Amino acid sequence: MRKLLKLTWRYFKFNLSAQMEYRANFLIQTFGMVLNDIFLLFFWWILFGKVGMINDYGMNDMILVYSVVTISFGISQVFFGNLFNMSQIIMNGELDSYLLLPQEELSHILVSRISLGALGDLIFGLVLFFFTEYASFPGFLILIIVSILASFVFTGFNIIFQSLTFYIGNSTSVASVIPDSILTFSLNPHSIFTGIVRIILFTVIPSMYFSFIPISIIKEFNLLNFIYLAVAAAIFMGLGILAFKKGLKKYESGNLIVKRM
Amino acid sequence: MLMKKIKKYMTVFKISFVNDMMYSRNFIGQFLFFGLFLFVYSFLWRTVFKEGEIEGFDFVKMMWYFMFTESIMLAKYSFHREMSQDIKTGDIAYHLNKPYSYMLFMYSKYLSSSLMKMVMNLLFGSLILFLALQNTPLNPLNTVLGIISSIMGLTINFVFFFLIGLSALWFEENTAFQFIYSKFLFTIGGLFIPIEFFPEWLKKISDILPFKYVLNAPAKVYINGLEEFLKVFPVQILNVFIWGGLIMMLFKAGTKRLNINGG
Amino acid sequence: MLKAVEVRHLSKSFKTKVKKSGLKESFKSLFHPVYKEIKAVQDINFSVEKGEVLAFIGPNGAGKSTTIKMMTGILYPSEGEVSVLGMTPWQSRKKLSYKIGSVFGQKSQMWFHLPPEDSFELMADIYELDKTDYKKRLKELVKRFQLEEIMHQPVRKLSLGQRIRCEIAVSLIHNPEILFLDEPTIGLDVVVKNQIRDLIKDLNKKNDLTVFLTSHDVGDIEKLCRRVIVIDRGRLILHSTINELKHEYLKTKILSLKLEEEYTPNLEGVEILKKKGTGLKIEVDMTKCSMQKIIDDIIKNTTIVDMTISDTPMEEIIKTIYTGS
Repeated sequence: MRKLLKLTWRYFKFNLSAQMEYRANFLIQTFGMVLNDIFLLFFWWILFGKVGMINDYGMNDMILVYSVVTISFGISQVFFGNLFNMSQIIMNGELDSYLLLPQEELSHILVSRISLGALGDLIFGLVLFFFTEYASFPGFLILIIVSILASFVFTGFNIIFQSLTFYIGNSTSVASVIPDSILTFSLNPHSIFTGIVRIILFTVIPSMYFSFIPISIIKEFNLLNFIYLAVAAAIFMGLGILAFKKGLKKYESGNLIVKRM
Repeated sequence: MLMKKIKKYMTVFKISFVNDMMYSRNFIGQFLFFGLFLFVYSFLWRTVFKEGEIEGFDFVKMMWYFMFTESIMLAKYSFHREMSQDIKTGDIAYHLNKPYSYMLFMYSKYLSSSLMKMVMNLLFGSLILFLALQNTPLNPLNTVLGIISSIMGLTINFVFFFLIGLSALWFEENTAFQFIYSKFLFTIGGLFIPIEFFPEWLKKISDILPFKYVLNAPAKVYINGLEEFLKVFPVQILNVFIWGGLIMMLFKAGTKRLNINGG
Repeated sequence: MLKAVEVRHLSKSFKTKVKKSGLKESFKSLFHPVYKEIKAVQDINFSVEKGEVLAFIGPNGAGKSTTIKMMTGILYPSEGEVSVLGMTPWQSRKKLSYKIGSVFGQKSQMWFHLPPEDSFELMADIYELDKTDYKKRLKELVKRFQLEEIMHQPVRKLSLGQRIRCEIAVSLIHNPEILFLDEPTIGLDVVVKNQIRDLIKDLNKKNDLTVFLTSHDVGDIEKLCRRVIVIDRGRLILHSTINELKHEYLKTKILSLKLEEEYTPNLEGVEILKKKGTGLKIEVDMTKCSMQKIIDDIIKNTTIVDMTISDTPMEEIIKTIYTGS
């Protein structure tokens, strides 16, 4: 674990200094993402301006949702910047270069790149949090802890779909819809989803662990919810690692037919 | 003679259409996104419109509104990237010694590509919504008028894409302009939420700016038909002429100062 | 002789922005750009006669493409005049475009995912040809360029040689008077290169087509042209006929000999290039030593088993000119 943290830190510094060479680009990407998030909030600002409340959600609740989701997404993308590229890496045979190195493969792939736009997300979420009524030192501590757990749910879930490439060949198009689906479901008032969809969002597409449960913990600390979140993080991360390891066995034994363009 | 001049652009339109058909499998990914958005927003709008109409919209109209704006938004062929690249490398010059207008050539290509995508999006979206809602504000006249207004919307968008592409003459890095423009469409263009929902002051600003005539106006023509069409179509034409004239002048001035690198 | 092209005192300089790295510098250069001037073409004069094939030869970055771009109206010159078929290219660009054809090797006129046929049809409409004229012309070109088999395959599946053949054919669809070719043989293998050269020669002879081409391959001018123009670093450094060139620069001949016994000649103007046993390769400077004299010298001492006399290759001559400039 300590070794992994050290490796992550090294890659983080390395990536950052490489990106600093193109400072203008760095700033554009980071600020671009902040702007993007602001524009997304515009929609809710207009809607709540018109209807006041949607079920039990008001504009303040939406701001908290955006804060938590962008922080969780930001954490996942800053530290596991290669998450969305895994399918490509497996497809293009770039995986081989990781297999040759004496590091645990999955974590090595994930941490070897940071996404700059995500840094913007992270900053945006943190700043946004201070505009909510929960901005206090204990509140902030809880925010960070639940965001890290939520980012594990998100990361694990994406690893599963990215690893599909091991089993079914090119799954890039499916894998790329996944992050958007979680985000789209998460960035809505959770109570609009009812019936079977609600169950799906607690299980198959774990959006509820990405927004609803973290924000209810921040609003009012509840040990049961916290345990739910921790368990979900462990399960999805575990499933992700399992999917990758099993897939890697298939890859190493050479059964994988890599379709190349 | 004039017929021949028109015919060349029609051939560009046709050839570009056939060329794009070769990429048709790329539609699958786009349809997945489109379907997902429609699905998620159906929950939101069902809750929001539980109590009844807002600003003339109800649940069914709102779903169709979003389908119409999104069908245009996802259809736009982003030729400005290629154009910026052509300007930076100087390759744009190869278009200049052919007997056609570069702008009209690009427009034919753009419209062909975008129209095909838009029609595909409309067919897909309408099918999904009709199956899910069993209800549609569409009738034959509205559909025809809506498509005409959408073509004008796409044309206004073309003018701005062309301007963004042209900006490569003066700015080495013009992705920021692309980004800002698309965000304008997103918000005061009325992609997710109609202009009618805006506070009064913002509504006024949106009415003056051209962005709502790309997405919001055509979508409302599909829903409200002739009355809406008569209101927005002249303004769309006006926008095309004003902004189009401006870029034509800029383009003329720009080609004079083209710096082309070559051996 | 009628002139197809006249170029007088043509110059072109580019300004390029000088930008230091860093955000602060980027902002600075946005408001106070610093430019550096690059002289791509400097005071060039020449003309092309009707029905002639003329090549511009020179290394990469010599200013060949810039010149051909100004001749076709793509670029505005900084100074000087160009007249192509009596028109100034950058002023009557569209009018001129009906009378000239152009192929720029690195910029395809074909649609990548479609068969060549579609691109031909598009070009026919762009040049506003009549349907019957177009059909007739197409048939002719397909036959001449042997395109029957590739006409219906997507362009992306064609080899480079096949594609270049299509590019040249499509640029002739409107029956132009002058054909401009920018590096038509670049990247092709020897066989295809010769094929393209034969085609150009044939078009010139049978259709009286004026051809102006640029190349960095000396083989192109040797096979195609009567005259040669060499350009380097934006300046004309040589302008003469191939024969004059040979006469002037071919003062030396290479003699490869196989002798019965080992022998080393020792005369003024004779240089030993290689000697291996009875094999001998020498360079003879004809101004200092006649052929008669060297051969006499050798047969006095031994017997010649085999002998070849060759000119210095064109490649070498051009190299001498570059280094001399």
